Amino acid sequence: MNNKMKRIIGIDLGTTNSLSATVFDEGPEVIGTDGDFSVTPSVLSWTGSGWLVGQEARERRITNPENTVYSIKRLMGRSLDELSETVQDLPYQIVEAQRQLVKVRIGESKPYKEFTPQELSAEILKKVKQRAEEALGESVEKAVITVPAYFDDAQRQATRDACRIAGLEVARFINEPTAAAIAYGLDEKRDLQKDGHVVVYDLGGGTFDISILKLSGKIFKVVATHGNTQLGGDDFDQVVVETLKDRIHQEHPEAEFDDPESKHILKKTAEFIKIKLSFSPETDYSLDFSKKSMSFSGVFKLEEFESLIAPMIEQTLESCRHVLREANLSVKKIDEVVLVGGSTVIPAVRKQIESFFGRPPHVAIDPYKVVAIGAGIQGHLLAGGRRDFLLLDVIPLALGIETLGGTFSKIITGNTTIPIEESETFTTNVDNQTSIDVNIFQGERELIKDCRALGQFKLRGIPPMKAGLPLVEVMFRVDANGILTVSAIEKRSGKKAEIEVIPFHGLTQFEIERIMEDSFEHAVDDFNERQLIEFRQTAERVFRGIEQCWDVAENDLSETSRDEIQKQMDVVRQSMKGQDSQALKTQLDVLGDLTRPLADNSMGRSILSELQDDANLNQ
Amino acid sequence: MTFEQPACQKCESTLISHLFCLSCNAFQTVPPEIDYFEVLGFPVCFEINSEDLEERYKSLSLVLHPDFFAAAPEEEKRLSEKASAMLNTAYNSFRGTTSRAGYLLSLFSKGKNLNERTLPDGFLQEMFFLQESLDELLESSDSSALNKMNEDLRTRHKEIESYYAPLFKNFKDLPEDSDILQQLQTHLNAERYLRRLLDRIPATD
Repeated sequence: MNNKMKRIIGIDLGTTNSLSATVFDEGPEVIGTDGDFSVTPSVLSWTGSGWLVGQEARERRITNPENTVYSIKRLMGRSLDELSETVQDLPYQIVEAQRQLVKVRIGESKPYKEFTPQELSAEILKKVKQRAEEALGESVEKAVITVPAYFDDAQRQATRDACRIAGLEVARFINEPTAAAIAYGLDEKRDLQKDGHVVVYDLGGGTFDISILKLSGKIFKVVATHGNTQLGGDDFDQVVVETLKDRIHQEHPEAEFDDPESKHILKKTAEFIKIKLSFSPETDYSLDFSKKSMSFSGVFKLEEFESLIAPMIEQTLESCRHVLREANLSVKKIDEVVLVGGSTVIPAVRKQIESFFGRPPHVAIDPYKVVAIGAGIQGHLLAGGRRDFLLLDVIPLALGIETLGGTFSKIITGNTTIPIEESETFTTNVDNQTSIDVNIFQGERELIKDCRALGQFKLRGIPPMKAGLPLVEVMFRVDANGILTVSAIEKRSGKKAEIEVIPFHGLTQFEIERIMEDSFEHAVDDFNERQLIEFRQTAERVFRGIEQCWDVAENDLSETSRDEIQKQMDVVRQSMKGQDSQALKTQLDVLGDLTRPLADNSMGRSILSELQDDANLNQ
Repeated sequence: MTFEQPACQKCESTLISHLFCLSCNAFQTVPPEIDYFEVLGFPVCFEINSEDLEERYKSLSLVLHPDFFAAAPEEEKRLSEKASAMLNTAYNSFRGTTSRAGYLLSLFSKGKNLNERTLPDGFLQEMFFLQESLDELLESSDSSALNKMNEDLRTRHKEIESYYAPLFKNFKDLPEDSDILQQLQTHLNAERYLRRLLDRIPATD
């Protein structure tokens, strides 16, 4: 990459995991060390004064469920009403704030701490950004962020606000399946001369998207896209959770599972069952509710799991039918099916896709990495690194305004290539009317009650005229990021009318600035606190590692060395009780040096290499 | 209306699209009333080969799209968004036979008082009859009869769309004849009725 060019990374901000990618000299790749460590779990845990993010937070889902927040993506840009079903599955509290905004509430009694999904999402972005900066050895200011294709305007705006709070400039939003198609379309293994229609089937943790793209030469054009922002692998877990509850109820009719710990244990077991059943026809499971001193075990059969998730897979196939219809294509015209998202590794999902499209899906690209890599390639293009392909993306759902009788009047139709500008002229209903309320909606239905309210504005300053005379032109502009801006003008007077947009589910500029100031003030404290918790967890893990190979250590270490290690472990324990994160780090490093000879031992090596990774992670 | 080859405001090369000079890569200052033919660089004419349209759209997208101006100064970014939006609108309008006919008619009928509600003789009765049969079929959910009706309506729709080209051709020879434009308007109105009927038929796989 040449020096003058400022790198733009790609970030896959997922419901379950987030990761970044960029184009290196060797080609596009995920940023970070190999293996699981390049992924940041999209989980946060409140420590009392700041957030732990990623792996450390995920571990606290067991020990600290009520302060640990996950699946934030499902909350972005949505109101409490819309979330009523989602909220029941989550162990943390969600409350309603101003303008239909929701907030996550932390703490069991007053004073509560409350955070918007935008702020929480920003914490994840900050972590991903920081890890990318460490791995690349340079600062990162801009990123291509992927969003589900079926994200509406409010959800995109919320994501943009999260980026602003995290100090990241959004170079471009691209739809997740489109990002996957870029990675696939530019994959070396593919015959680049071969044009055709590609379907991207993207089933992640919380969202489902289906897109059809036409690849012709340098241009990747999204033909149609459809999906469901509230369907994913989490729902598969949920049906298993319900089945487990039913089974337990047969033995313990009085059992309740509404506390965070029970919810977490059930969820964890459901995930375990789901993963096991991807490899075997049945699996044992056991649940241990220690706080209730109750335990339960059983066998889960693949058949049962498959019949439980069948209706949800059918829902995704219904979307496939819909999108083929929109694109005016038959299944036979599809040249390739690309799978994206963790849930597509489930054999039942693959089987159904194969039988629907009549061909085995393309699985050569890692379904976990493909979205981030596509975003990284797009970032490279935007930074000026290449000019040899172009992505033409669409706006998934129609945009328009409310007209008489609660009908939805579309100004921009769904699946239109962006950027786009369209306008429509309206008039007044009453003599001498000087203002008009414009209510903006997004959706594919005929009536506004079935569409999503995005916001409203009042058009003021219309000169008094007879009803029907004023010509009010409302202009909708959707930029290349898929984000809408609306303006209006009264044409007869030539006077540009004043407009005032009040976004629903969104943050105002003022609120974003306040959040940024707050987070800056607390940054130093938070940092020490966060490091302290991270190092404490590392220490726990190091202790476990030492214990595990202590017996064989006799062969590798002299008695003096073993004494020294024991003593140093006590020093570290002492340090763990203190508040100085740097002191703890220093003592941990000493312990690391002392235990180094263990690394020569074959058994110790695997354990210590894990410790080494932790140390790298925390530097 | 004649087709003039405009020159680039910067290097004076002949422009294809009025939006952008392919020789010196400069955005052009365009008036807000620029028409879709000028945007795409086609002569004002109803018949446009769909492959030509596709090719032109692609080649212009490959130079105009905001993705190629992400690192450019704000002004250029804005021009690229604007030009790209115009290109998309023009392309979308020209892809469909009826939408292209409707656009061209609106250009030709400026300042002429066309009656906007005319329909072909006997058309309303025909539609009334078709609508009743469709209602019955939708209620009975007789899918083979419904498919048959779908095919019939599509054939009828194609027939209406086939009337545009000869009328535009006539108009070229007789540009003063407003009656030709009125006939076009009539067919466009009929097409809208028919499309609404077609939209009511649920899609089958």
